[in-house]
Amino acid sequence: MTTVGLIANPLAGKDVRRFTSAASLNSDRSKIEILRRCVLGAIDAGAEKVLLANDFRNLGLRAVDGLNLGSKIEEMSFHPEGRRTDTTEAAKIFKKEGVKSIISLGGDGTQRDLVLGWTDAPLLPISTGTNNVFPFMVDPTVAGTAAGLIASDELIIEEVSQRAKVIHVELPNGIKDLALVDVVLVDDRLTGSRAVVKPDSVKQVLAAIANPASIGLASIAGRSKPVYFDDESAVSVICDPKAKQGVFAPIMPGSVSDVGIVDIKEVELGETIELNGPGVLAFDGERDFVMGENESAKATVLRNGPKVINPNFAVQTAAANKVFLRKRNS
Amino acid sequence: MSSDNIFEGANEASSDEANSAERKLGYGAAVVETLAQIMREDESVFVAGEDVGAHGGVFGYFRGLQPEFGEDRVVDTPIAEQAIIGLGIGSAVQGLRPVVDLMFMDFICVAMDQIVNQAAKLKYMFGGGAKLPLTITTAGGAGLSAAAQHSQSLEAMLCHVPGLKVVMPSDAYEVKGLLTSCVREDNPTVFIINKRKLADTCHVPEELFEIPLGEGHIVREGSDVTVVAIGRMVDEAKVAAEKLSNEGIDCELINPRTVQPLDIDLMVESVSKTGHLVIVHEAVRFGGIGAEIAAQIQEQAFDYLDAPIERVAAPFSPIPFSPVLEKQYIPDAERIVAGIKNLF
Amino acid sequence: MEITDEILIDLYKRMVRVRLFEEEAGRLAESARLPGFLHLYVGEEAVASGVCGALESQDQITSTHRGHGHLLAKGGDFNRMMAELMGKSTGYCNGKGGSMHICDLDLAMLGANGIVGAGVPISVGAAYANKLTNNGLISVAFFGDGATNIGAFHEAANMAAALSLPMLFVCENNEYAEYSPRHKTMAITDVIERAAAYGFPGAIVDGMDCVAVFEAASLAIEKIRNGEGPMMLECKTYRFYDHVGVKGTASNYRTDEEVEEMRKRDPLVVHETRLIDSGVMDAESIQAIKDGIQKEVEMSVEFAENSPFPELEDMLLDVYTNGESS
Repeated sequence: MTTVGLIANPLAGKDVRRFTSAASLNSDRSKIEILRRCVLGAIDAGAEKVLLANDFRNLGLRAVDGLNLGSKIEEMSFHPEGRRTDTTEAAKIFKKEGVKSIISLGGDGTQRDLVLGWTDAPLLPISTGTNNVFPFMVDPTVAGTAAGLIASDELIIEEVSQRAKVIHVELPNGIKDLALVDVVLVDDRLTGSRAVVKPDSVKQVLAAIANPASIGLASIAGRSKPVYFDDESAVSVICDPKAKQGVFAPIMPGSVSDVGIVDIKEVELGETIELNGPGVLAFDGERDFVMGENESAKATVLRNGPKVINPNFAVQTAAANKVFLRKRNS
Repeated sequence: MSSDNIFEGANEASSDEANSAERKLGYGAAVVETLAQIMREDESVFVAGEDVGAHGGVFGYFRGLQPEFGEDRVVDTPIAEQAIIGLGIGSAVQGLRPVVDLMFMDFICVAMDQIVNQAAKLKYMFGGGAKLPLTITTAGGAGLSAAAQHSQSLEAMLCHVPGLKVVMPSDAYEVKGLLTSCVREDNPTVFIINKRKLADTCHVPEELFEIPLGEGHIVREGSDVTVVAIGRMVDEAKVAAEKLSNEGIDCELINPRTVQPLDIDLMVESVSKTGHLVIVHEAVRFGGIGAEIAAQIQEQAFDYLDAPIERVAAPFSPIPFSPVLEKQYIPDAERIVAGIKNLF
Repeated sequence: MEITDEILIDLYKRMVRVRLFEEEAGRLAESARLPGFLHLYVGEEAVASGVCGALESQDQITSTHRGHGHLLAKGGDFNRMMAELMGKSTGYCNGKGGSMHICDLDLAMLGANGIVGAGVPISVGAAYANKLTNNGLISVAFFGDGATNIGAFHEAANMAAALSLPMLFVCENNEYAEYSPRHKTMAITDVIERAAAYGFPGAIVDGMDCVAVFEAASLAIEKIRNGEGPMMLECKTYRFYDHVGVKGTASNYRTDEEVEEMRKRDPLVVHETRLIDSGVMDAESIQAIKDGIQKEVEMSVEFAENSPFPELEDMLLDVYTNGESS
């Protein structure tokens, strides 16, 4: 069966950064519309089935309401709890079901949750988060087309995707975690409302992707020493509000901060970086793990992450292969 | 509704005679003059409502306030009657003296929860701790072919609710004296402006003065029949009384001025003298304020009554649009005369 | 803003005050020692505590039918509350308001409210007074998800936005409008979409975590106080007991499993764990706080039971200011 997986994080783009910055609200309605376009694009491109991850908002089912696609739509049978682990659990089911491509709606945090469940997933991430370094800004119809063409073997995934880098983190308690864009050590002791909203609280940034043209904590690195998706390296920046040198970085949408930096260095793939407590570790922008005084975490960047499907390149490749030209019944 | 020049002439007349004892002022002009004077002396007073600011109110009786007091003290609100009353309640509890306007009295129905369940009860529910110096102004009364949703007299509904005071000025003098009392009052009041009276003038003092809420006024002394007329019906009852005096019936005309609280003592005293009572109001007869007055009079002055109590009021139907029907609907001097004659 | 140990402990105390008072009130109701309806706040303590903990003492709040928590979290007095619940003359409302109308104007708590959504327009008025008198205060309207289906909420939200008022809308989204699940009564899930519709920002926060609520509220309040207009904080929370009364389980509108799941996220337990893990407090001092507050609660029951009922001749008192009545 040529199946496309489809998942949306209902809570992406709704956190407290709507107070502290000019971040947009990404409403359920807009997500439903994006999902609907993805489904239609994928089916049109030859996917035999779309497997919907049943999020706790029923966004997927609401997106296909009235399309009369019958057995082409299948809903996962697991019970979402309205937490980030929903995305991780859904990713495991996608893997088990052998879907050939996944379209995932969310920001950097959502994509991370998905990769936690399926590390080398065939992933086409779409931006509906607050910070969107990892996912693509793309018309969902085109994303659907790309995912559908891969599912139906019109495109070979290896030709239109690239493995992403992953920041693997071993926490002081031995638990392994990961990030796709950045792991940031924050001068704090609480996870609070999760988003990192105080620029002066940033102590260290380790970024696998540090693009000066994107938003989020990684922009501190991105505007100091850019590292792109393709680059075989990462970057570490040590920050201090009292530093003599600063960098102007948009850590939230519309909110450019002067962040003091004391050290910038390139990090090789495979090299281990220590992040020393006390502080809170933020993964892809979200405060997640509190470290005590004598605790530290070890981070290593490897290129063993998801196969990230570039939707524009995929559709362009398909056009070059004349995939879209069809015979008509006259 | 066009409001242009509805009482401009009255203003001119008043300025000519500004300092004389017989200074005349229009009923609508009295609203704006009173508010302006109160707002000058008390910074805690502000006005809010639909179109009250830049436009000066659809009937013009807020005109000139915003240019003088600014947009923060004369607030144009959204069309949102619940929120308008809420704006008044919340700011009154904080110690301000809001005057909030519901453009037409009919629109109180949209805000009934805020008026009935919130404003009226707050003080009592809170064990007496809250003061609510809130004035709600609203335009009531029929006669402009404004039809069933822009013409009603719903004062009886409000009078039924403990906690509210309901005020119905019958002329410009009362507008000034009663509105001053309402704004200075620490209880929520509903000040019902009769929209057919706006251009009528009468003597109104230049300075602010108060007419106590709950004290009725004997408009005309008489010995044969007590006529209690409410709001604009006072005008019609005056005409009726004059007519009947030529026929040998001497009417005592009482204007309660406020229908909650109601000056029943004044009426009891009068009925004790005349032995006859006719109640006139523009609202429908069934369950109208006349029913309450009649009940209280029979409780307190039964032995003095020489005839059943007569009510002259509107029939039990929505207010019709067509001028022919509307004229028939609203009680007038002729029907009051007929009502009084029924008693003899 | 730095979240100090003092703040963490203060938030905890606020929650414990609400929880222990409410549990006691629930027991009293079950043994028929309280007249009338009782809408318990248990489960939602993190919201009132987090928000009230972030306010200045004279910032106004308007509340809901589930209002005990808001007043207690703002510093309400146990004795006067318990006496009011019993209809005694020593109560907050002299026994004339009861559970649904509890208020304390000295604490700028402008009343619980028996009409769903009705407090929100009143909060608009308080915010307007703040703006007009330039007193630097903000007003907060607490309301449930169900209240956002009523017209008063929409009128108030629009007016607050149109007049750019210093007002924080706090939605306590507990997923049920009385006994009807949210998905049956509205076609959206996040109430902040309604803020967006009226042109002001909203954000979602975990309403079972007092620190998350406190931090989010603080961020919003700072902006609101700076004159940036209204904002909405939507706290995803849960009511452990039923809409009215105590039971909470074996109901026909939600499953016991769901209640059990949410009870695992008990805001008091979440915060206790944090306090202990971060070394701010140990288990003993936590217990000492609970014991102390429980004692105060029990004393309030004694106070209330020993208090007199209102005098019958006071029935007509306070219908009007100046003592008038007709």
